[in-house]
Amino acid sequence: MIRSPISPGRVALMLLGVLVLVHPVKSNAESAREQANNIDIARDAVVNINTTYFSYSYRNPWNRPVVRRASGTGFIISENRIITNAHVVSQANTLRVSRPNQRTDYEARVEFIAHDCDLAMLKVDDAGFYKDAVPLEIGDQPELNSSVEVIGFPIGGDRVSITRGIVSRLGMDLYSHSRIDYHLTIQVDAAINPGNSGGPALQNGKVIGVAFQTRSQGENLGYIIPPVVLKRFLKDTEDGHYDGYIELGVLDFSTQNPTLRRALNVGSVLTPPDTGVLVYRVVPGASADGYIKPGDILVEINDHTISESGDVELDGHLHPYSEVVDNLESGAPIHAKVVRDGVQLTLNFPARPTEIIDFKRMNYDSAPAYAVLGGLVFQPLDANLMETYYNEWAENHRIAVLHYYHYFLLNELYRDHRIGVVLTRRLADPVNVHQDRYVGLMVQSVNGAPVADFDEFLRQVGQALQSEKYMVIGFHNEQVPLIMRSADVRSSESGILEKYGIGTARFVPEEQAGE
Amino acid sequence: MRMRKLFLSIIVLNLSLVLPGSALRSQTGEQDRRLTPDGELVDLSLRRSVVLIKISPVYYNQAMPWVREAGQSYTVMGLVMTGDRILMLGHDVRRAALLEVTKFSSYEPAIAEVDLLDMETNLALLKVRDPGFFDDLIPVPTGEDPELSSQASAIKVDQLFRVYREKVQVTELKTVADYGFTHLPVIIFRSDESFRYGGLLLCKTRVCGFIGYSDQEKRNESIPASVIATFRKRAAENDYSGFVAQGLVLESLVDPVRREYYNLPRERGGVLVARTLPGTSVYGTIQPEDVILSVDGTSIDNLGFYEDPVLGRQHINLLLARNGAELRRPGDLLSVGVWRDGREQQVRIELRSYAGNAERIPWLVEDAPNYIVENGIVFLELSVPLMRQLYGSDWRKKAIQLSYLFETERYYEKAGEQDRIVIIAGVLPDHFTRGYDDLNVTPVTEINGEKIVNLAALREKILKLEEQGADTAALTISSGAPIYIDIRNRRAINQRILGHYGIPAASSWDLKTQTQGK
Repeated sequence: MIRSPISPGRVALMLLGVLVLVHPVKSNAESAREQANNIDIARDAVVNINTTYFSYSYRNPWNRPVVRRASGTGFIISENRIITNAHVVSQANTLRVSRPNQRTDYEARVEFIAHDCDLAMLKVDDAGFYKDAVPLEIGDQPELNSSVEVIGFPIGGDRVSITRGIVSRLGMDLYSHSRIDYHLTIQVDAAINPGNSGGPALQNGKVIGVAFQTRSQGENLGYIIPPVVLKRFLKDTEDGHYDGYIELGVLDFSTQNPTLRRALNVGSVLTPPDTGVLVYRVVPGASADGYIKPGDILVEINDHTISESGDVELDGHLHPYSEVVDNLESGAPIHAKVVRDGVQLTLNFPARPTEIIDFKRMNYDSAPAYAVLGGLVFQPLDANLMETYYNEWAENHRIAVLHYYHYFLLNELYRDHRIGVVLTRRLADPVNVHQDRYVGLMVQSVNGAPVADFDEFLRQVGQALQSEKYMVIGFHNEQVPLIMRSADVRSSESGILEKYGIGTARFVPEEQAGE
Repeated sequence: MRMRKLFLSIIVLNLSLVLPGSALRSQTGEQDRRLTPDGELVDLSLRRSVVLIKISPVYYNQAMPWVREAGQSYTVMGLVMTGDRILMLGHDVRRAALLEVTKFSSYEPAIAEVDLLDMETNLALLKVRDPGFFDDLIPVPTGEDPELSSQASAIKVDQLFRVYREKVQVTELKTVADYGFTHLPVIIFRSDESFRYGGLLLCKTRVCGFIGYSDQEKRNESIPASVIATFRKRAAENDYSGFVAQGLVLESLVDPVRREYYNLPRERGGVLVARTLPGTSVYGTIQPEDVILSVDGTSIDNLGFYEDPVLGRQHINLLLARNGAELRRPGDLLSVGVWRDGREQQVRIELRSYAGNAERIPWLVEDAPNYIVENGIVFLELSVPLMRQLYGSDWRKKAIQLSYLFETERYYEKAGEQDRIVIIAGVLPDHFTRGYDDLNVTPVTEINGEKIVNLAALREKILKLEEQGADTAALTISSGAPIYIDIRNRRAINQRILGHYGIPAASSWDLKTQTQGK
């Protein structure tokens, strides 16, 4: 099943809808009254968020972004912090918030934004905004089948809306805002509608989740971000900086197979079904790199025994073992027990993040990088570019690009490239009439020198244009390179930029440029 | 190359040879121009030179090669050749479980056998068991190839051997390679009638072509008389030498900047070599990034074409295939002018037929695909027909990793190196495949650290390990993950799993031994 993607047009947010709750709750009137009271207080801490935001075109990356409108929900917690989803405030240009029954709205700013867990923290400088607000408390992980109330500002009216549901399921799931991050989620059986993303899910007046996404197929499959993820976000930002998730960084294989167990002599040291997982790849730069080795059987992590299929027990439920370390902060200790060559070892190492697959995480923080060379548009391959061009590349059998993107970790493609560079378009000009066939291919070399990322590409092209007669670009799996005269590339530039309304021939966002 | 859709063999024929004829005769206004029966003499002589061959095909399930499926029978036309042989298309023959031949004088079918099958040219010769079968038949009177823009008659017979004829105009001559690397000339003409079940092309009173392919727009390709005659002649020799496989992958050299880069002025013409295919004529002597300026003294232009005195602009592949009207012969030497390292050089190439040793991922799987079912894991060799079976016709965008392998690993260079890609095509649910469920369609690269070069080698290695008393064997899949199979108890495990899933033998080799033993 495919999680509904949060489209670049973020107006179509997702939220928990109205639902009729069949809840095996305490039936006495007092608790009902208490609950109603809780909701009244909570409702007053819920924030309506209206934003305009920049939307970039990766097809025309030189264009000024289009300004779009979006709305969502947030809620006030202690220290005048407002919590909402990252996707509600990503690329926000203006950000205005108001609480129910406030007669004006207030300007807010983003304090922290965490795309990897779809959370953001906002602040409002005007103290009037917070007047009489009772901050919401963050509760604990809710039980399965317990009731939740979701408060927000969904479509269908401009007043606050309260809906109810039950906790249907707990599990690791994709956080679709970033496209690649998997964390714990809580599934609730509420229909979900655009507009109250970022709104609180409450139980006994405490926040036990943040509404954030839904599923495009199926009904009443709403997802909320659990307290553990929210608390981790708050802790991470305590030092004034959001560091993000760490990565254990092992690829593994189950030890269910009886022959595999026998071959690895698993039975001599371990007792089924707690036979752990066989590690076959360690991601460079991630926490396990330099500690766990391919061939190790990972049997225990931070005192949790790993089953033959990679599960651990947490709070009475089975979870993938990565959940044990998922919420650790950078630098926190990890102890892993492995069986290596028949001997049990305990490995201690610090949790750390890796940047190696950052390019597969949607970018919301900067304008797209590009270079126009002789009317040919080169762009770094990232999630945004993939989303823009995927269909075209698949249709035209641009397999090298698709393969690189999808098999980057599995086939160790990071050995040759950090970031792929793709010739995405040809802006037709007399200088490039013979270069159409290279569109959609991935750059391998410039004047014979291999290219590992976009910065290197720019540097090498810059050099070639200055000191070589020809700019020779080799592409993956293409025998014949692209050849253009350096002088032609230089002299055609201003005409092409003018013809296609391009302000600058090259752009690299600042935080990337320095690396 | 090799991308043509051959639907000829898929469609069931039965009555269609009769129906179009009767349908056409009712359109009296068009009768003259289209299908007028020729004079009595011509009719009779032609009837003696054609036969109808009923083909009963068997198709292999590429993903489960032990499963075969009997296809529906269909009928095509064949030509009577000298030496009591029948000429027909290779792709009809190669899947045939039974070939039944009928002729004008007898509706009682005779059983035919394959005498020679050459999928490189997509041609085959049949023998007939009944020794008297050819007594009242006469070899087809082949003439010269038709000239461009000339008139010819396209002829077919119905099941009663009534002859239908349509005047057509030859519009084009070009080279194509149906399945292999051997590009041969074909004659293109359009017709009102469909010739999808075969037919012949008559220039005056001689046969000048054998219609081999007909698309839905009634655009027909006919194998010219020269190819038919040469094929028959070479087939009669002791060692069938086949036809010249060119082996060039070319890039146009139009871009003036690229020409300047190669320091080659425009007036010199020449086409850029992107790749040469192993096992073909140019391999080893012509190199990538050579520019071919001339072949046998004839200049090649910057798109790879030359000026033929009779046929006009033609592709270099035709020049490599034939000398004037005569088809070149494997073993012939040919001088090629190439631009290499900034100067012109003459390179002598020895023409070769395709030796069948270039494709690691074959486009065509001629025989039953190889397979191994070991410990409940189905191992196959990667091929285009297999990918089509697993993913459908748009496999190139659906199976990204396999498509990528196809782009990067399709050819191999030297004998002895890895010549096939072995994949796990499926895992049969069983106690011994627990934990392996996600391995579907995964390339397997090594066994016990040793590279797997093809399926036969994998099988031998497993048998050898068994002989050596090994307990288990480690297989490495493309991602680097190791999986293990049981060697010590493999026979018992295999027997049980094969029995459970109704698989007749543990491998295609065992299957062959079994069926031959019966």
